[in-house]
Order: sequence, then structure tokens, then C-alpha cells
Amino acid sequence: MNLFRSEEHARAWEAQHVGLQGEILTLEQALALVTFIGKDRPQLTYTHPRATGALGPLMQSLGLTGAWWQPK
Amino acid sequence: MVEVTDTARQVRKFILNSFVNTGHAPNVGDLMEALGVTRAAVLETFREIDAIDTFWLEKGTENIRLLAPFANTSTPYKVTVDGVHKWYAVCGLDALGIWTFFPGKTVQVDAYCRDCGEAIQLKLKDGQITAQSPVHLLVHLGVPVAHWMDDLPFA
Repeated sequence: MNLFRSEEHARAWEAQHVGLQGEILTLEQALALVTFIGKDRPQLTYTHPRATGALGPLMQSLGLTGAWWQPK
Repeated sequence: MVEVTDTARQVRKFILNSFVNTGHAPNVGDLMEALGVTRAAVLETFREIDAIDTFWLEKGTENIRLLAPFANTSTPYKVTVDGVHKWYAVCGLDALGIWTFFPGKTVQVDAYCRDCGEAIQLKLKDGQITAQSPVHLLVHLGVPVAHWMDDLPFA
């Protein structure tokens, strides 16, 4: 998960790495996603949303739909 | 819902506190000493932590490689807080989320475009981006969500 100047730069980098099937988020989308996943991380009782079943609904709420965005 | 032991939660918290305070993860001996548990017990908690957070050991070792959002090695995502650099974020996404461990403080992320190498700088405070350069930036995720945990350093 890397930062890039533009989609053109991201796709150029992706093309150099066999097997990558990437998706791109705006900075705002990425901040919303990581804030939901990690805002409670400093707490002793934290559990990652993937382990609580909350990650899938989160993706949908951010408009991230389709097979690529579906957790296991 | 995954259930884990109180010991595992205490170990996880100790690791995170170590990252915040020193920039590095403790080793197994540090955890044994701090929590008064055996090596086997520490290693068992590592398996539990893996179930509830993004946690990774160096392959074939018991050395902590990362506990998100902190990396125990240098990465392209250098983190500075109050003018002090001690930390590296695991990835570009975690670089945007590391602020949660530094409430009320400005967290500066220095990185570079992985394609062209141009410098990238972000400043965040309490979940808000307060400055960024260049103006247009985006995050590329290289692995489908279902496979994020297959090879974390690669993802």
C-alpha cells in the first residue's frame, strides 16, 4: 500500500510488479478507511474489524464494492 | 468474534507502548521480563495477536517485524512527531493512521512516490490532514482485501 503522485505513476509502478492487481484510493478515502480500522488501536481491548465482521460493511459504506474489496 | 487471553492483550499493548516510546518493538526476552511469563507463553500470545490485529514476525524467527501501524524496520514511510523521528509506518495506509497514537500532536510523514521518487510529505493532526505536498496524492493498494494477510510486507 503505497503513496503515489498520480494514477499514472501508480499504474507504471504496478506494471513493474508481476501479480499485482491494484486499486486506487484518494487520500480522503484512504484516511477514512484507516481511521475506521485503526482509531481504537491504542486501546487494550482493540480487535481489527476483519476479525469482528465489520470490515465488509465498512468497505460498502465507503463505496468500495466488488470482489476486490471483499474480506475473506 | 475472536476471543483472546488477557495476557495476549497485555503483550500487544506492551509492544505498542514500546513502539511509541522507543520506535522499536521489544524482543521476546523483554516481554518475558516485563510480563513475568515464559517464552512459550509469549510465543502463544503472538499467535493470538495475529488473530486480532495486523501482526507479523520475521519469517522463521520470533522477531517482531511489524504491529500495525508500526514497522520494526525502515520503510518508505518515515514518521516524525514534535520534530523527533523515531518511527516508520508499515505502509502508505498505515502512515495515514499512525496519528491515533499521538493525540494532539502533529505527525509528519516523509515518503516518496514509489514510481518517480519525488518527495512526498504529509502532516496530520488528530485524524485531519493539515498539509500535503504535492497537492495531488493517492494510495495504491496492490493486493485484494481478502489476501492482505497472506504476505503483509508485500501487501
